[in-house]
Amino acid sequence: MRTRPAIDIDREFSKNLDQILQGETAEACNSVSEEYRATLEFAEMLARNKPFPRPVFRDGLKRLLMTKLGEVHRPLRPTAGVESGWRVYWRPALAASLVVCFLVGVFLALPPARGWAQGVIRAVIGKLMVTGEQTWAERVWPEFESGEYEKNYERVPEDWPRRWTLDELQEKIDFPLLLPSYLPPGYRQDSLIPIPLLSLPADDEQAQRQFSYRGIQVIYSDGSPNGTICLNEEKLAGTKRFPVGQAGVREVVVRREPAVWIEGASLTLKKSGFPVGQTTRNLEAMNVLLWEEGDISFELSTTDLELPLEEMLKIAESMGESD
Amino acid sequence: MTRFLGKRILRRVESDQERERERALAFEGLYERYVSQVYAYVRYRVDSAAEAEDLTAAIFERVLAKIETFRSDEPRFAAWLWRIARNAAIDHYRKQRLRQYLSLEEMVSPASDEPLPEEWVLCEERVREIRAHLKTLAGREQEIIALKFGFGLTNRRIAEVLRMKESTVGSTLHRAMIKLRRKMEEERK
Repeated sequence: MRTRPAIDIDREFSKNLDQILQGETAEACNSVSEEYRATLEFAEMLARNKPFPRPVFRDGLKRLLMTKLGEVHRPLRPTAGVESGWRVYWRPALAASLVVCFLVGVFLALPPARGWAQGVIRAVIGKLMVTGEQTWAERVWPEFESGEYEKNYERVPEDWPRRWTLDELQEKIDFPLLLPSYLPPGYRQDSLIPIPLLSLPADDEQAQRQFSYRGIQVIYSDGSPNGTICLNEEKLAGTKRFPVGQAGVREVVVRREPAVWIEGASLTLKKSGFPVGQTTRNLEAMNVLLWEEGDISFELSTTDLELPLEEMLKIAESMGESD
Repeated sequence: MTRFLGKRILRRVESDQERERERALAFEGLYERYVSQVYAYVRYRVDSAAEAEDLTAAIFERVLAKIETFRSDEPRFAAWLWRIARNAAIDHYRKQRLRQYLSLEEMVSPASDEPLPEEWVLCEERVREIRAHLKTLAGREQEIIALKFGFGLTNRRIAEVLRMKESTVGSTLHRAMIKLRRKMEEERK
């Protein structure tokens, strides 16, 4: 005996309802109940009586919304000429700025332009620059970056290092040398050496021997591994960065000149490229007092981190021409 | 150079105006197409024509405010509109606010000289009766009938909007319609 498939009455009702809502005639199958048919008729009545807005409301709301739409986009209208103009210009202006920046960058990367740019920067910011916590001191020393330094270092005169007397050095230096009359207890002079003037031709030994020094370095020691005080005084030419990193920097006054006290400086100078003091100074951690007098730069540094600023200031204040 | 830039600005302004016109036309088209559906849906959810008008206006105001952020095709717009309409109806229930679109009310107030169309008055009478019985049904049943007869959505769409199974929508709809019919018949008797 064959059975008739059961009708999913809910699905059938939905199908009929969709037909009604689309304006078609609902075709219910024969097996549905009277109640089903009555409900379909009721649905037809509902569809016929679908609420609709009053025309006056419908038109009024439309007018209101269209007015508001115009207000929202008013800046796009021709009266807003300035904004429209800017909207036209900003993309090409941005593109042109980027191109110009790129070209300037390329230009300044070339050696002649770079030298010129460094000269301009040097003229603007001066020899020594301190700018707060994220700061560094900048000193003039161009050959260090250009590679001349190491090349010249290979050419250091054969009689070097040797014991120099102050008089010998003063003959080679064209400014009066100053030395401290005060040293902390236990410290004594360990070495006195000249700093080569590296901008002279490296292969001209005669020139280097005759007048090839731009300053001196004096090292004082108390005999302990970290007990070193180093005094550099030199006439500067060129640029060298004096990186400070996270070290603390304070502005102080030395011999009535503005100075900086750099506490815990970690210098990144290459030992092989640093002819003076390379064997005696721990460059990794030191305190440094920097100041200038005229075109002479003074650097009083110590690897003895226990030595207070007051002591370093006392050393600096005691400096004078030796008899 | 100046002349060249001047032309560019002019072109830009013209294209802005053109875009503005297109935008207005597009919005007008969407309004014409959906305003009746929105109103019908809302009318099934509130007790009076005045409330339905307020709510319809609020819904389209919301659409207008957010239309710039909407970037899609029309079917998605419809789904977006249903969501806005439904949320607005829910908000209405929560707050039961007084009529606040005064400017709109002034423009479209029934107290104006314009006579109400007879067709609308008759329909409104019947709708008021339907609504009186409809609101005795469960909230979910009311919602399904409003979406079905107001928006004319298929069961699948209703299921998506209400996050229900399509078969559940079908059975709930059928049951709700029987209940509503019986209630109205009993009232007439």
